[in-house]
Amino acid sequence: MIWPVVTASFLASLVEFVEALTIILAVGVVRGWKSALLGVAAAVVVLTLLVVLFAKALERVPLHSLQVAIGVLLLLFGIRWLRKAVLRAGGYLGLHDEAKIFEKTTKKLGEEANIKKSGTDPIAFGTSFQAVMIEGLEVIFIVIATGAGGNWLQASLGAAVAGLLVILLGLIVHKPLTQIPENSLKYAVGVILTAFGTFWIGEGAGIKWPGSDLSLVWMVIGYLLCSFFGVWLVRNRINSGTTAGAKS
Amino acid sequence: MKSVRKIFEELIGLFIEDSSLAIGTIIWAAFAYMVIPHLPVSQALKGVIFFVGVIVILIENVARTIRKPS
Repeated sequence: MIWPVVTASFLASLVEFVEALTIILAVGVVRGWKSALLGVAAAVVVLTLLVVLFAKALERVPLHSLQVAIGVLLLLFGIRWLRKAVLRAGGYLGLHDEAKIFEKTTKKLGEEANIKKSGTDPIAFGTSFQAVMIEGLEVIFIVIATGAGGNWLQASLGAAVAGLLVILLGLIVHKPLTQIPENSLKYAVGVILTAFGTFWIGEGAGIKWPGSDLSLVWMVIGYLLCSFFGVWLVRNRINSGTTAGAKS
Repeated sequence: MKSVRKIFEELIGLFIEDSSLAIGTIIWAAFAYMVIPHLPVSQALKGVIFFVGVIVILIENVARTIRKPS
């Protein structure tokens, strides 16, 4: 089960890294790069310490309990994304827009007082620290969850490749990565994580999945088809005029 | 402190956005852990029952969300 783990971890982490990059770019452009990058570095140090502590703690938890606990968290995480993706695809919620988030963040940061040209800017430091901490914690969770069967190396590899790709693209384009189809990615990730969550809960509960590890494939297809039905349901409701569309 | 609180809230928000969806999912997962393995059906069917339950929770939540007055 190497490729499903690497792919799931890569796609889910990619979304988180893109979101972090948007905030860091906004902070760097408006408040200066020094404090923005210091905030990033501080968050990376804290996240690394958390990973070391988590890894030590996880080694002591029995595998079945770990599978169920991670499965529940993963299912909550995945189904939340999938629900939102269905509502977005159906037109009930507005689409996620990195350009708009970049614009909003730069405007907000520009309005804040005390832009320091030298020394450390606490607003820039705090904003980029917070963004990297939040998105970084999500990436840690994604790695732990997708690698729950002892595949943490593969899951880490997927996340690391996603991180490197986003950093590289960020360095090249110096703009929010609006070309990455984030809404479609989130839809796909929602489906994949929901399938992984279902799988791990079943494994932890002692359910023998038809097809063993390959059951993830039919689960992904099944969730995808059902989500299409959900999208149809939302569109139908909006078209009938009983529900208004595109809330943010 | 405000920053730590925001990070904590975001962390909770990772898993819970719609409380009824989260509660339904947790209850169904508990059912899968405690009851489904003891059902007198084949192993394959046990997995399918759990899988279908998750779909029902999702679709019911989507249907209920769009029924809410906007």
